Amino acid sequence: MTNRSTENGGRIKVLIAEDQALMREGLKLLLAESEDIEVVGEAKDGQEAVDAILRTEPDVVLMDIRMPYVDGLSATEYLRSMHENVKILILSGVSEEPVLRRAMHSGAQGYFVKYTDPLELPLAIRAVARGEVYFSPEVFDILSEEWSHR
Amino acid sequence: VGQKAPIRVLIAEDHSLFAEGLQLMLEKAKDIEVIAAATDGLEAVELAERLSPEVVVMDLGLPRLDGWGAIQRIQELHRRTKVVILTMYADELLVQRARELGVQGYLLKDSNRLELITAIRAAVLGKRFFGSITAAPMDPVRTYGPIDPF
Repeated sequence: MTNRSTENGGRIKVLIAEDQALMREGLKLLLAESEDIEVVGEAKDGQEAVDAILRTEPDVVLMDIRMPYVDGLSATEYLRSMHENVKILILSGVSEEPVLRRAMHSGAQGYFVKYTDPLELPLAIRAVARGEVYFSPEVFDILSEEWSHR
Repeated sequence: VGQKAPIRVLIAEDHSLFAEGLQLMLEKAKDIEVIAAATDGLEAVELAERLSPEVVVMDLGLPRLDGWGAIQRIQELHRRTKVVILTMYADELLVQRARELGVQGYLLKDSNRLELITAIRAAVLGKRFFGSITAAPMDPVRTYGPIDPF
């Protein structure tokens, strides 16, 4: 599943996994302002996310944690156990340490807190798509330490 | 000349990523203008006092001063400012409290853009819009406890 974006005019293919419809719509509008990013699919829960990832082969998944049926971290862990190497950027309103630690061990490449400056989101997606890691500034200290022990 | 002034809206939402998306989608409605966004309840009260918005789109789980406190303070300051609650909580007790406070709208974050715009337009006309939340039995998937950090 590497170099998918070359089939897509060089644009980064993004899948949004988020249970709140208004949040999904807002994210699509926000990302539409970045010419190098294309939203290729949406999912309302973790199970839908896994199905949509296998179907649409995105470069990056924006994965909300709190979703019904299968949460975002469980979906991320499942994808890792399946050796799917899609890159996952966790979206979350939570900055508590236990959640951050679990997120880092789930196999995600980044963690974007929902109260981070929205202008950072395209930067985070590009970084993760390049194979780098991204942590919101608000949680950088905790996550960078956790990442070094991963 | 002859053109009605847009409805002046204040967004009170601590997740700036969500607030930015809301602003982008509301700006698509030509009769709505987002004049400011607050990230906590106290800021919402301060901005409402200074800018006298016609409608405040209010999250309930705000830091410093929660949405309920902010609503009461805003109602004391500006009787004409209408409030539309936008929350993840599908809880009949909360809906009841909103009605008792004279709130004009109560929508879930899983609503769509059209419902939000309809609620804002209805609020300005002095009409209540509580979306589908009062039309259907509670969906257990959407019913979360009062404290849910995600």
